[in-house]
Parts: sequence; C-alpha cells; structure tokens
Amino acid sequence: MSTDHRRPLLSVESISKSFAGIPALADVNLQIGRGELFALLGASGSGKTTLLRIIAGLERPDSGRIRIEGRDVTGLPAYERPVNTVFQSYALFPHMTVRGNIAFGLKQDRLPRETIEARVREMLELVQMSEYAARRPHQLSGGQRQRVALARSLAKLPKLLLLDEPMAALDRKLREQMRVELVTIQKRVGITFILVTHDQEEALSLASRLAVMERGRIVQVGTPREIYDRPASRFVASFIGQINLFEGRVIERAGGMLTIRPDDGGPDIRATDGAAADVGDAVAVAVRPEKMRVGRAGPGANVRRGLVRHVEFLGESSVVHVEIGAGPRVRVSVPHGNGAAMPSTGDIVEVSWPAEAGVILRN
Amino acid sequence: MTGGREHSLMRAAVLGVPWLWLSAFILLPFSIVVAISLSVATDAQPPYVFGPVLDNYRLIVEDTLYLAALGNAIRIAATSSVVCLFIGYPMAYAIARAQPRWRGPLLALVILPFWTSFLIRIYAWMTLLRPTGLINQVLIDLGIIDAPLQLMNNAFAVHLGIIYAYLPFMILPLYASIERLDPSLLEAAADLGSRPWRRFLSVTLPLTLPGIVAGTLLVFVPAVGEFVIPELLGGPDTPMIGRLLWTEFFNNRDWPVAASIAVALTALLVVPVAILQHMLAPREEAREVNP
Repeated sequence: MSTDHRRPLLSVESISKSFAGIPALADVNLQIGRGELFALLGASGSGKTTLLRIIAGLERPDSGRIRIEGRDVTGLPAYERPVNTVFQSYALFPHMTVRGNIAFGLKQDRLPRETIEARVREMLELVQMSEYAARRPHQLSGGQRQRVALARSLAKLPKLLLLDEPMAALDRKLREQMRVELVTIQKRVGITFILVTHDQEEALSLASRLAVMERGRIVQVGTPREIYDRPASRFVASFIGQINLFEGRVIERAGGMLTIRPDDGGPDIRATDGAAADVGDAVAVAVRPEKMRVGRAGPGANVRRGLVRHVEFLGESSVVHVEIGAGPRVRVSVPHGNGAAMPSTGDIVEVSWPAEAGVILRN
Repeated sequence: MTGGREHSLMRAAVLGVPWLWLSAFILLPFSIVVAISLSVATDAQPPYVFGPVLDNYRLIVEDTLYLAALGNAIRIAATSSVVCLFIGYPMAYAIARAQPRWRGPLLALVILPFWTSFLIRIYAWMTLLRPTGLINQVLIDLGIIDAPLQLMNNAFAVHLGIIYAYLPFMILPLYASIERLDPSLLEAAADLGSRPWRRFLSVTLPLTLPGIVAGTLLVFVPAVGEFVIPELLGGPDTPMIGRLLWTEFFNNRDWPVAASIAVALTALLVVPVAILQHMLAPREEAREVNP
C-alpha cells in the first residue's frame, strides 16, 4: 500500500455545503493518497454521507473544490467522474440480472462486447458470485446483494471507490466476514476505497487511515492507532472506544511532565505532556480502560481508591466499574487468564495507571 | 379448535362478497347480452326472440361497415392513447418528483375535472370549438383568420375530446409507478456513467412500464368503445364502433346486432389485456421484494 501524500489521489479543499440554510459541511479539507482504505467516521448528521456524495458528484458543494489526481472535478456531473459508489441500499437494478447489473457501467462506456463479458466474469469471480450471474436482485440474500453492488462499482476500475455504510444492512456475523473480505478485495484490486461508517469498530478494523467527523467538520485525521491512542478532543476520545476522563486544572509543568489537580478533590494526577497545556489551563486527563489496572502499579503511577460497583463480563476480559469518591465512575479492563484475582462488587480497590497512559485533552 | 370452522366460514364470506358482486353485476348482465346477441330481431317488446343463431355475428363480420368502424375506433383510440402517454408521462413525472407537499394539490388538479359531469365538459368543448365558438371568435377578432375554422365535427375534435377526457386515467397510474421508483437507482445509474437520457431509457422507462401499460389500457380500452365524444364532437368521417352500437340499439332497435357488437368488442379487448397483465405480473412481484 503506497500512500503518497505529496500528490494525493483525492483532495478535498474547503468544501462547504448547507441544506435549506442548515450547514452540513463547514470548510472541510482532506487529502487521501493512492491505495488507501480511508474511513469517514461520524455519528448520523455529522456530514460524512454529504461529503461522500459531493465526492461522487451526486451533490454540489456551495463552495470549495474537489480534485482527483490534481484535476478539478468540482463541476463534473457524477457520470463523468472516475469515481464509483456502493450505495447503502445497494441500489441494484431490479429489472436486470446480476450479470446485467455488473455490465451496466461498462455498457455506458460502449466497450466491445468481449471486453464487457470478460470483465463481468472477472468481477463475478472476485466477489465469488459466478453461480448467481443469471439471478435477479430479489432472489439474493443481503450479503450477496452487497457483493453484487461491490462488483458493479468495481467493474469500471474507478480511481476511487466510495462505500456508503456498506455493512449497515448486514447482520453482525456477516458484517465481520465481509470486513475481512473487503480488505482482501481492496488489496487485490489496488483501488482507493473511501468508506463512510458510524461504526467505530468497523472504521478502526478496516481503515488504513480515518477521519472523525463531528457536526460538519473533520475533527481528527490519522491512523486508527493514532486516533485511538492520541485522541485530539473529548469528542474523539469518547466517540472511539471507552475512555475515562478526569477533569482538572494544570498546576505544574516540569520536565515534560504535567501535574493536574482534579476537580473531584482527589490526589494530583501526573501525565506526560502530550498536548501543549500551560499552568492554569482546564484540561481532562483521558485514560483508556485497558491502560488502567486494579492494584498498585510501579512507582510514579497515579493511584485512586474506590468502590467496585459492577463487574461486566465480556469474554476475554471483564470491565470493572469503580466509583471513586465523589468523582467519576471509571472503567478498568481486566484481562482474564493471567491469574490475577477478579475483584467483585462491593470491594474497595485501588486503581492505578502510569503517567504515560494519560492523554491531555483541552477544551 | 372451534376457531377452525369459524375461520373457514369467515374466509368463505370474505371471498364470497366480491364473487357475489361480480356475478350479479358483471357475469349476469353479460350473459344476458350474450343471449341477446344470439337472438333474432323482431318488431315486438322486447324486440328479439332467442335463437340461438349466429346471424348477427355473421353480419358484423361480413358487412364492412362494422369492421371499418372498429378499425377507425382502434386507430383513433390508439393515436389518442399515444398522445395521452406523451403528455401524461412528463406531467406524472413532474408531480411524482415535486416537493411532497405539492404532490397532493397537483394530483387534486388532475382529478378536479371529474367533479363536473363528463357530458357537460364535452358540451363545454362544443361551445369552444364551434364556428361561432370562443376560439374562432377570438381568432377573428384578432384578425388572424377571416372565416371560422372547422374545428368541430371532424377527426381532430374527436381526438381532442378523447385526449382531454382520458388524460387523468393516464396520469394516475403513471404517477403511482414513477413515485414508487427508488431515486437511488437513478443515482446509481448516473454514478456508473449513464447520461440523463440513457438513464431514462435504461432505468426509469423499464421500471415504470407497468404504469405505462396500465395507463395506456385505461385510455385505450374505454376510448375504443367511446360514443359520446364521436357523437357530439365527431362528424360523418369519424364512424366509431361505439357510436354504431348506439345507433343499432336506439335508432334501428336492432338489439341482437348491438349485443353482438358489444360481445365481440369485449372479447377483442379483454383477451389482449389479460395476456399483457399475465406478462407483467412477475415484474411487479420483483419490484416489491427489492429493498
């Protein structure tokens, strides 16, 4: 996977769009490189689908530019863009067979019949639907329809494939299977994919990079790891995975280490200085549940004492909900199988985490 | 369970009502018409004696008058249906794609003429079209023409009347099928490189075909048998089979011939309609299952 950031495949420049005076996208900028599997992650109404539709040419932006390989395509209608889309509802043509659906885009280009037939066959094999070529969409299951929709939009070998919530209509088990398949297919065809999803698990597991959107803006762009480990805002931190937040104020900054006095009156928290925060700033210390432990950590770790309210069994691990004084209820993920004793409801325990585990979030 | 018997009784009752209705108001009257068509006309009350004879059918096949009138009626009805389709499709499309709050009022406007009697509306056209009518008066007053145009009692007026009267029957089924068309299918077609006109031919048209067929039949079938419009707006050059039937029945008091025309016309129209419906049935089913 070659990600060339110097000359991006897709470049979204200052795109704004509003519907009936209500802003859907506000000055969005984004660059996506060749071969990426990029996810646009956000809650419904965050503008992610609008952005996708603007890239596809199905919606016109109020202002801003869309460039593909440096060429301005903002004014081009959908049928002239080297972009294809897998629609959320799949939008398969009900009056055509699977073969007819896949051939549709190729026929628009008036390619020779043999070329079309060969490409259709290739696409059917790619999505393992060769046996179903003569079926109509209503004779297929949800998962099969999705494969056909994918084959139909890949058949034209677009520069960019857009997928709008491709897994939303599938059940959980099928969704996990299709995720793996989607990544495999993307690697095989080498086409850049942009996937819109509200499912953070899907975005984290599929994407090479992702953008988190909130109320028409991109709030953070990065690899899944970067976004998970170093969320840029409270919104990102709480939208992606579980996180514990300790609100407080910076009282000391020395040697790359911040000391934060929590608002709940507990002992001071030490955190390595990630974000630029000055003494006196109101911040939150965000700590992932799996970076905390029950019991005392090594020297220099932050320690809080609390009451176990609830233990949530999740299979490979359990989440222990600990109420800390008047402060927040924190979640601590405790893996099973390492011999450690699992606390039970009503226990008084100590919860600790090293200074490096805390991420400083400014307002 | 006692419910089983009650259930099947209920079923029989529910299915029985429409059957009873159809028997009493379609099957029975039509059987009477068939019986009359096999009778011999006499100067009596009622003016026929049951045969059974096929003489009336032989007459309407052998006398070219009837076949010519039928051919003319089919031609006029077919032309009018096509014109209705070309006017109705863009109208239905525009209504179906209008803002949802506008669709109701626009459809109401299409149906509005039905609030006035059909006959009165045709008379209204007469006052517009006749030599001393509004259209000719305005054209003469404006100096565009010197003498009134012959707008009435010809094929033009018959076509105009039929198109005017039956247009709503074209628009309503077209609207229903266009409105059901999933707009994301057109977006998908555009996304796959299809230009607007090809998109219409390859997606919109085939998927709204049931509406086109329904609308065309709803205009064509009654138009073939139409007699009020050719009677009031038509002339000697526009014999139509419905008008001939009316003449046979009321003027010539030849009930058997009139009845045989009615039976032949029904058979001629019902058979192709049944075949078309049978052909389109699987398509309808496919549309409904698709998400």
